Amino acid sequence: MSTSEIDRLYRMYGFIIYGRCIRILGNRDEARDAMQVVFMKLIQAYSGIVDKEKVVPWIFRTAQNHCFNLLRERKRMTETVDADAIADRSNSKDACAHRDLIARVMHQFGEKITDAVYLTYVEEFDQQEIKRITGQSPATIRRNLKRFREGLPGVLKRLGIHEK
Amino acid sequence: MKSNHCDRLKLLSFVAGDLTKPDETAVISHLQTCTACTAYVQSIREERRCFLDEYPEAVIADVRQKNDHIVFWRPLLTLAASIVLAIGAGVFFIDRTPDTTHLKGGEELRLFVNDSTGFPAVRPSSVFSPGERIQFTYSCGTRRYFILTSIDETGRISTYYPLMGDSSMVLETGANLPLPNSIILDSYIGKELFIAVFSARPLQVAAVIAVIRRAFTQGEDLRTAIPEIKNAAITSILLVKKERQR
Repeated sequence: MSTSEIDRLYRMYGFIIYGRCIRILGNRDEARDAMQVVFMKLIQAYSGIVDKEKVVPWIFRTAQNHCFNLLRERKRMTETVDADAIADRSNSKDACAHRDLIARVMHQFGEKITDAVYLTYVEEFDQQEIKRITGQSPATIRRNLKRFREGLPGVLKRLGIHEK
Repeated sequence: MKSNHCDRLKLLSFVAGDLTKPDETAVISHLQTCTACTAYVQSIREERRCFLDEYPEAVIADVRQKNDHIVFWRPLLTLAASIVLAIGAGVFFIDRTPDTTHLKGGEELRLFVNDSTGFPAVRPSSVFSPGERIQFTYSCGTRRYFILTSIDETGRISTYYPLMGDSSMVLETGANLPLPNSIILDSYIGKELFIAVFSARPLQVAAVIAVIRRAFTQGEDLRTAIPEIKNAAITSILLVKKERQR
């Protein structure tokens, strides 16, 4: 792929990739790193996506998978002083705690259920949009949401989290 | 966006220019009568403008270099004695004898090679042969996250640790502990620089590789490139690989 083509893809899609990553990770530095990784994947995959209208859903799916994997691997540790993180209001202590809790809960469910739940309740996509991102049919999405609702009390109990 | 509105994915594709002509025409027609979707498209365009203002070049420059396979080392190597690319305590691609590097924060990397009896030993020189088995040991304290890569004169970068995944592996704190698995040197002949990154937080392998590649292609001193890898200590060990003497 030529340099000019890479530039073009970056101007078209970079902000979409970054937007997904910052929304999930909540940290600018991590989002920028994640964006690089996902953008490299896009460069490798782009020529194989024949219907270009599928690129944006591809980005959503790939960025989400990558960022969720990062959240799963992230361990709680003493935060190193990071001026950007302090300045970033979205990375408040409460937001971090909530994000970690969500990551721990979501980790208990499979990837398909996690996708359906996150895109439905957090991103508020409708089922047709979720289908375009994940490939799950509306019936499958509804089934996965049901599994999440039914499994959540047990997961919370296992993690020692008390429902209010 | 539901019911009479365009969905967000479609509007993002519209801004990115991915829609077919008929779909694009339909969206444009819709935007002429829908203030909500028009506002959303404007917010996407503003978001893109702010993003490109903040990250105009750096990211794509890294990606661009990863995408190219640049053979740039050979002309530089004719000036071998004058090539100085410093990383922490080490110097890129200049023959150096020590096989141990020690960093201020207590991190240390040591190199052993299996001798004829299969026992790991320190080699006085930095000259190795393809097929030899090497083993690294390390010492670390609070900077427990670790990446080990190497770059050779053709610019090819290999990642040895983490063994799997795309971010730093976690090390056990301690001194002179062995890294899992030994490494069998491949058939490449020439200089290969092993670069170790110790950090207090996990780093993405791809991001570290991007920094290293940019530093090499632009002749940068990695000590100034390092700020992009926050809270990390970087050290290196140079290997010179030659054909085994028969």
